[in-house]
Formats: sequence, C-alpha cells, structure tokens
Amino acid sequence: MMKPEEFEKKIILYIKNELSEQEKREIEGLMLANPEYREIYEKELRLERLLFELPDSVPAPDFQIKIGKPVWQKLVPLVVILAIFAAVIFRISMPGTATGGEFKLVTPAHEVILGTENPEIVVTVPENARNVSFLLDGDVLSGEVKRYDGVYVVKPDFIDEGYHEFKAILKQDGKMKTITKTFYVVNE
Amino acid sequence: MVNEFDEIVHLYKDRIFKMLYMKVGNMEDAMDLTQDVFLKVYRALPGFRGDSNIYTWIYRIAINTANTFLKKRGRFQSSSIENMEDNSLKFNLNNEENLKTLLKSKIEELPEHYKDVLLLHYFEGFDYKEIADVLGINIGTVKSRLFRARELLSQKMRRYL
Repeated sequence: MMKPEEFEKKIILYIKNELSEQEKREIEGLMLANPEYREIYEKELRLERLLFELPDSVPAPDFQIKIGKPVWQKLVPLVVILAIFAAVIFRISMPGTATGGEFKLVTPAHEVILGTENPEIVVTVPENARNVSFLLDGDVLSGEVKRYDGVYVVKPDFIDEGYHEFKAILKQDGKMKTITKTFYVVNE
Repeated sequence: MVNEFDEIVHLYKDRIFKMLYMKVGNMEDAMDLTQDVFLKVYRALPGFRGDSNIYTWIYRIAINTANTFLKKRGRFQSSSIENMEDNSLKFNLNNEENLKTLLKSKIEELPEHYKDVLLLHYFEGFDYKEIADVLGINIGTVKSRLFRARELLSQKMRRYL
C-alpha cells in the first residue's frame, strides 16, 4: 500500500491529471478505502482552487502607464548644461577672475602718496559685484566714491600720515568677499 | 506603434502588475516595476521580431525586471506581504480571504525560480511550453519546478486547510 508521504506527492499529479490511468485508479481506490487519504485529497483540491482564485484577490490599483518623461523633465538636463556653459563663459569674461575671482586694488599698497588734499584709491571690481562698500581703518569710509564701469575711484574726506587699512566689501555670486590692503600715507 | 502599444497596456497592465506584486510583495514597488516593464516594452517593440508570442515576450521582460530588482533590493528586505506564520492563529482561517492572504505570504517565501513558474501557471494560466518560453528553460525543468513549488506550498499550507 502506498505510504501517505508518497500519496501526498501523487495527489498533486492526480489533481493535475498527470497520472496514468492505472495510477489514477490506484489513487481513487485509496481515497475510497481510507478517509485519511480522502482528507489529503480534499485539502490539496482546496489549495489548488485557492491558487487559481488568488489573482482575483490581488488588488489592481488604477494607475496610468506613463511613457517618457514630462516635457519639463526632459528640459532639465539641457537647462543644467546651458547654465554651466553660461557660468563658465561669464567667469572667463570677468576682470580679475583668472586669479581667483577677487578684485584687486589698482592703487599699489604702500605707494599712496598724498600730494594733494584728495588722495585717490582706485579699485577694480568684477562686473557682477554687488553691494560694494568701503571701510577705512574699520569705519565706513567717508568720502567720495565714483564708479566708472567696473572701476571705483574712492576719495576719502580725510586721511592722515601713517599706516591705514582699507577694506572693500562686496557681494559676488551670493557670497560676501572682503579684500584688505594696508598702505602707508606720506604727507608731503 | 502607439495604438499597438496602447492595446498591449490595456491587455496586460493589470495582469503584469499582479504578478509583479506577488514577486516583490508591495504595491509601490510593483507599480514602479510595471512602469519600467512597459517602458521597456515600448522601447523594444519596434525591434520585436515575432520569434515568440508577444505575451511570452512581455512576461519575460517582466520576470527579468522583477528579478533584477529583487537582486538589488535583497529578497525579503521591504516586502510587505505579511509573514502570517505567527499571526495565523489569530485569523479565522475558515474565511477564504484570510486563507488567501496566508497563501500569498507562503508564496512569497518560495525561492524565486519556484515562484516564477507557480505565478505563470496559476496567475497567467500558462501551459508548460509557454512557461518554458518565458523563462528560457526546457519543459522538463518547468514541470519539475512547478511540482516542487506546489509540493512546498502544500507542506506550508496543509495544516491551515
């Protein structure tokens, strides 16, 4: 007589109609004679039915198949490339940026010589510099400031002989930058 | 091609989704993967030569996409089909829906190569030849895998039936 373990294997094939006629008859005989085997068969049959019904119990949400990206997403790489390209071109064209993006004091330090009542400090700043302000010895510079394109001409109201600290503070590309120069004033 | 593709989506979207859901175990991943599958189908459709049936071709793409995803994710990492082994006694298993939920979790535990043949057979109603075409294996292997998968499920489920 077939053992239950063997029957459990065979019953799957029986349900799937993959046994020979002789094997089928043997299985059917066992089920008639033995309630335990009949129970195994009924469980396997139930499992088989559950498996076939299972797809209906899986929810299928209503969603759209979207082929391709939205237009704005397609344009993102192009915009990024153009922005990088523009930034590179822009930086190359800025005065003084080849040495690190900072402006320079055209008036050489230590060489400001007062021979007149109105000494001048000439400063070249990048064209995209914003909020440019000047400090002299830590105080807001009082004097005349003129701008000629990217060049500032600063004339302090008063400056005496000796060392002085001149600072130009500006905003470039959203960042604050400060350049400090010390020079010596000689009264004639 | 657009009309043909729309027709394919109409015919297979829900079925592919359900199979992917059973493979990956959660809705969001299954929806993303369904999108991926149809995007691949859309791109590859002009080059489809008709060497195989279009539906076996689509299912092959779906199975491969899911298996690649599972390899990257790690098989059980974010599955949300509950492992109900410990909780199963709390459920009334005379309720068919509870039993089906339990069955889903047991299918989820199967090795992928068993799960693939099982899903293609029971979810899609594919015969051995069609399953062999989708998976690129011979019919004998399909039979043995399906039998083994079914046997494993029986062992896992019998005490709840």
